[in-house]
Amino acid sequence: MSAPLLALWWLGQRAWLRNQVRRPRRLVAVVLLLGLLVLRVVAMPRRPPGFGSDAQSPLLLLGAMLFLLSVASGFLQQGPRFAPADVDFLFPAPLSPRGLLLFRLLHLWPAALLSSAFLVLMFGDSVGTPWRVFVGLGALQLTALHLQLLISILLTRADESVAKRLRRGARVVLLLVLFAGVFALIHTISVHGGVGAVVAEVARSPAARVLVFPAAACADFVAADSGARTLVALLRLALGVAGTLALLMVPEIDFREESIDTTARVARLLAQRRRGETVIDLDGRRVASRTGRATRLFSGAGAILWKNSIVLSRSLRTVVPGVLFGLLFVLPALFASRQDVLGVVPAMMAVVMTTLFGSNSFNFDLRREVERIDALRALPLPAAAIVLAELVTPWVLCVGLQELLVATVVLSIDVDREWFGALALALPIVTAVLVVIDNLAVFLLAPRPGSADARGGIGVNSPAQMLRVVVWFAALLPAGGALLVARVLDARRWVGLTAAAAVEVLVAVALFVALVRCFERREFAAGE
Amino acid sequence: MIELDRFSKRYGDRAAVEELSFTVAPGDILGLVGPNGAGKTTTLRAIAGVLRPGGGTIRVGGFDVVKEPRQAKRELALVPDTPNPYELLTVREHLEFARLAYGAAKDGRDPDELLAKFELDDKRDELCGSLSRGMRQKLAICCALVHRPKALLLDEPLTGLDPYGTRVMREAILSAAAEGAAIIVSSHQLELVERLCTRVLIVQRGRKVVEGTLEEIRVVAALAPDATLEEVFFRFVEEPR
Repeated sequence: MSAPLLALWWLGQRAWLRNQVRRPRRLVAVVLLLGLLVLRVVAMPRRPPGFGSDAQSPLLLLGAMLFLLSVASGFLQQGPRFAPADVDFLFPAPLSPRGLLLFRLLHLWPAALLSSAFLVLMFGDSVGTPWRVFVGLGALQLTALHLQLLISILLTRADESVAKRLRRGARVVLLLVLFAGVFALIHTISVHGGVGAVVAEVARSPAARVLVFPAAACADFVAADSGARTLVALLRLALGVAGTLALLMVPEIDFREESIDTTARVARLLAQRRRGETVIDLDGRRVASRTGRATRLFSGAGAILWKNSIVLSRSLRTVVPGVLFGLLFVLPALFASRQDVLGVVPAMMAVVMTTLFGSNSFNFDLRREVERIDALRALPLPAAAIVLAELVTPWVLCVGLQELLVATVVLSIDVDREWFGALALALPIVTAVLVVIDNLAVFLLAPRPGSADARGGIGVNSPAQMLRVVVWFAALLPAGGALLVARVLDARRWVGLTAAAAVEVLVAVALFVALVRCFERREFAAGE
Repeated sequence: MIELDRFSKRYGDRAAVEELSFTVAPGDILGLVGPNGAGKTTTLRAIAGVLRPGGGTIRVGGFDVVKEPRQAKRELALVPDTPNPYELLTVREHLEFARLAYGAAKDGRDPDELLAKFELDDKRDELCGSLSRGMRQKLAICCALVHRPKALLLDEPLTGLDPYGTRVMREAILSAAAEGAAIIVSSHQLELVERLCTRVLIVQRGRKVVEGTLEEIRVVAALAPDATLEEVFFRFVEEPR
């Protein structure tokens, strides 16, 4: 790689670091994050040599998932993605595709290693000696990255229609894997009491070890109990990294033309993600307009409902995986519930927690209107009607999902139906509170006029995600207070629950009024 | 009819617009020109009821945009400088949405006629996310015209349009004016303003500099009768420092 590219990379890294440190909000987030990481490292127990052999299966599963997801995403890009500035300034420059690829790798390698470090900090001490887990996962991620880029480069030689078909195929496969994951999880929990035994069986099969070879090498490296085994596993890992890098560098394919489209497409999707919108890849989709007679039923604020329902129906391929992914965390707790009170509480909490990912997945409301707030305000409709129409879709979908979960649990497992009945009645209010809070964030966290920043809501990776949880819990406290008072007064259970519901309805109404005021009055920076 | 009486707007300590007054009669096309940061977009957004005026009054079709916002908004349409259509609605659905939201399903313009006029009929089933900037601009004006507004606000309407699109847009603006709409066109393209507008209002740092027909402001500027709007503009507007 040429010296100017190396210098450019270094300048970019330095500028990024300075940017992180200079902005107060980011600095606070970085300091908090570093504090948490340090705490985690300090609290990490020291492991004896050879530790990890029992945990080989979970590590193999984690590694295989990382590997497959990373490699499969190579099919989603015809030509590797660069930064938009790279396309504008480096692509026309007299640089070889190989040099550009190395430049790109310089950005991706640290990111891969960093994510491995995070995984170690999250799970490392439970699956093996942390440094071994880091080396194993790091090598695995680098190998997967090389293969991912290789696939995306080879796809540039394929016909556009073939690439599109492969892209769709890869998405279907990813969706099926998620579906299968959910069902497998429920099945193994209910039949085997856990996933460990089943995973171990699959992991030992020769086909799995070949198909996800870096994951197998990683697990072997972590679990190795002798110097020789450690060395062999390490060599396998190194061979994976070096071999795939060599494969990547061998074909002199000029991917630039295809990379321009990929970069533009991904930049648009990332911008959507930053704005907190559900990411939608149009990918040349053609559809039929739905403007039949039925549309006449929707006039005024109803038009917003009609519009959101159409947008929802065309976003299912992003919404469904998001919901399935969320369910992966909820279903185990739900189906592990027992008859006694202690067993019921985690299940009820799990249903309530679906509100968190449900509200995010079904965000067909003001969160997706950040760029169009002016157009909405210009409509000849009362602000409250516009806001209410916007909130209907996420609320209905989220509550619908929750009630479905409650009904499934009550019908399939022998649990205390009275508790779940009360929960079913409370969910519409609890969900309404969070949906309103999430919409309020669009206005409260958006830059004020005069700010240099673009408009924006809560991004999916934003620290504001934590804030919304805290605010939501705070908003539910009055209901808890009402329950407590009812208990102190020795009132009947239904009296306490009714009081709590009434208090929470008042909180929801107050938040809604605040949201309407914000919609009417909050000004964004725009124009001259 | 659009009437502004001593309209002011501040962002924190900065005055975006100060005591701006003017009237646009039905059938008139007012060209709103000024350097960057002059307050043109702020003025248009306030007329559309998107921003609250800090002072003064704004009336559209006789309705106060603050006191009677629904009636005022029913009379007008705003075409923003950067249209952001719903990416997952088709072009035709977008027009239907505008028609339904403005309650103009019965007495509004025929969406298909509008699409044909703006050469978008072959894009009717295309998702808006895949439209080029020029096509988005055309769609935005179609949506603005679908409910037959009596006041039309256009912020940089020709940005991103090809020559044919420019001509169609110009004709659409003239035909809306001929039907009796009061129109404000904010633009940096002085040639367009000169050819299209019946009156011109030059603003700078949120204040009115001069207003009138081109002939009238040439006289105020003490320029020759054949002086262009560009020459008039540079006579009145200070060079940015």
